[in-house]
Amino acid sequence: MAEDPFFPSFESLMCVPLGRRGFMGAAGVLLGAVWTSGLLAGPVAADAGASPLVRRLGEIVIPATETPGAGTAEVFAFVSRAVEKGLFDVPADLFARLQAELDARAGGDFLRLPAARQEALVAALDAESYRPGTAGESPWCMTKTLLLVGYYTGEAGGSEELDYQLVPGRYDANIPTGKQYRALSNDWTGLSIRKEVVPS
Amino acid sequence: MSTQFDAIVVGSGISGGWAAKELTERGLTVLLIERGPMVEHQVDYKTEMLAPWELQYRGQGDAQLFARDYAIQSKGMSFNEWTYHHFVNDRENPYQTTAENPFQWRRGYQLGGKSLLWGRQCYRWSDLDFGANAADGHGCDWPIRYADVSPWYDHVEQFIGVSGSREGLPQLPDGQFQRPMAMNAVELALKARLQTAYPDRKLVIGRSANMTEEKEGRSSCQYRNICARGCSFGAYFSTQSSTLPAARATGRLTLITDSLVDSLDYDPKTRRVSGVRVLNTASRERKTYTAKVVFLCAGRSTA
Repeated sequence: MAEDPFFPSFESLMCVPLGRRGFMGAAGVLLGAVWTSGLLAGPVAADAGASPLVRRLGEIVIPATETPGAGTAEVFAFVSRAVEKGLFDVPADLFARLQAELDARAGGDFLRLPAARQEALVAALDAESYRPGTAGESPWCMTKTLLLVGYYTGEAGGSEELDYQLVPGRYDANIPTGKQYRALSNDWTGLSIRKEVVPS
Repeated sequence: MSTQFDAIVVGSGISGGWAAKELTERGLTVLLIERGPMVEHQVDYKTEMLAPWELQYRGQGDAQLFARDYAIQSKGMSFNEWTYHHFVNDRENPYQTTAENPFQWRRGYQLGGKSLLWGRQCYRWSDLDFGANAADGHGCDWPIRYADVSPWYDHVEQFIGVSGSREGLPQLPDGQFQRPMAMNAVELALKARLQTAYPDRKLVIGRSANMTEEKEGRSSCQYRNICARGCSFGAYFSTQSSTLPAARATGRLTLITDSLVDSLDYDPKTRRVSGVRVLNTASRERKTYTAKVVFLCAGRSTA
């Protein structure tokens, strides 16, 4: 199928390091171009090797069901860019640290384990990683955060699993939440109102 | 274009927009000067309708860019990947503070200024506030009280549209309100418990310049919680949604953007300011404009 040149597939973008471009300069022009062109960056090219691991972990954290889950190229693209820019204060070598941790627990290459053993290993790691007193700073915690953010701010997580209403149009103070209820994904972190207080 | 006006207003934020509206409506020709770029209502709200997956960093933004260029602005409310272009570049616009008072100065250098970014909360002061200096001896006793300002609160609220509930509280005077937004079950439960345990402590719905009723071509709030991106519905008060259209409707407003006022012309013999000197930041052209009165509405404190 001929690829639409205006909306290239994420796979085709994977080797284009758009994420490394600066957005500085004529902010209006450049930002507008990025916002409207549809050319959202794929992952950072140098991270291509981490894709199998991160996508497998994404699939374990949120498996594909009626929605594609977190093991997708779209999620990996976000995770890669987030590491490049240090979002959420993640270290630049997050993927290397994560790989080392998992391989140590696997006693070899984590990715070569049978699927069920991978899932059990990750479940055990996850259970250990959120004990009181640990500030969620382990490579696993950071990666899981990025996977969840990448999924729920992506189109599948944000609008298929959750409910994205561009214009709610109304505020109902109380709403029924039954089996069919899908939480609103808008303003997903309350970005506009919740900010960590940082002293000057 | 003429360079002589009845009045010049420097800055197009909340107070500048109001000055332009009030003066043009009273028959004055007004030059409204904005240092930053044009942001035309609706047309120029470039990120308003974007979903998180349409942004490079899903709304979190480029952390390195923000640390480098928005180190102060990024610490505050409403700053995110959708809105950061409405905040000043801190690296290009540094300021000094003291160790004792390292204040964070929030700024937005574009048409509308912080009227695009402000929290929209509108609470009237009472005589507890106006009379505070007299009561506690700090500072000088203000020569005005609530009765002097109340008609002006009426005037502003009726124009901008404020939703809220009338509570009859002496410490928080009621305003000219559109119907209030609703409290949810948790808020109502808390309100009821306060009523029992601390009857003199009141929990009331916020009084916000987000409208619950349509008004003069502006629609009511659509409850998106994305105000700082700019609202094409015109549902909250900003220069763009409200005061600028009113000023333009008089036919007496001239608006220039990308225009930085860097000095005033002052005549020491008459002891009057006679005009302003403007640098066009796009063309680098310099021009002087004259007027009988100059309103400085440029750069107040934090939003």
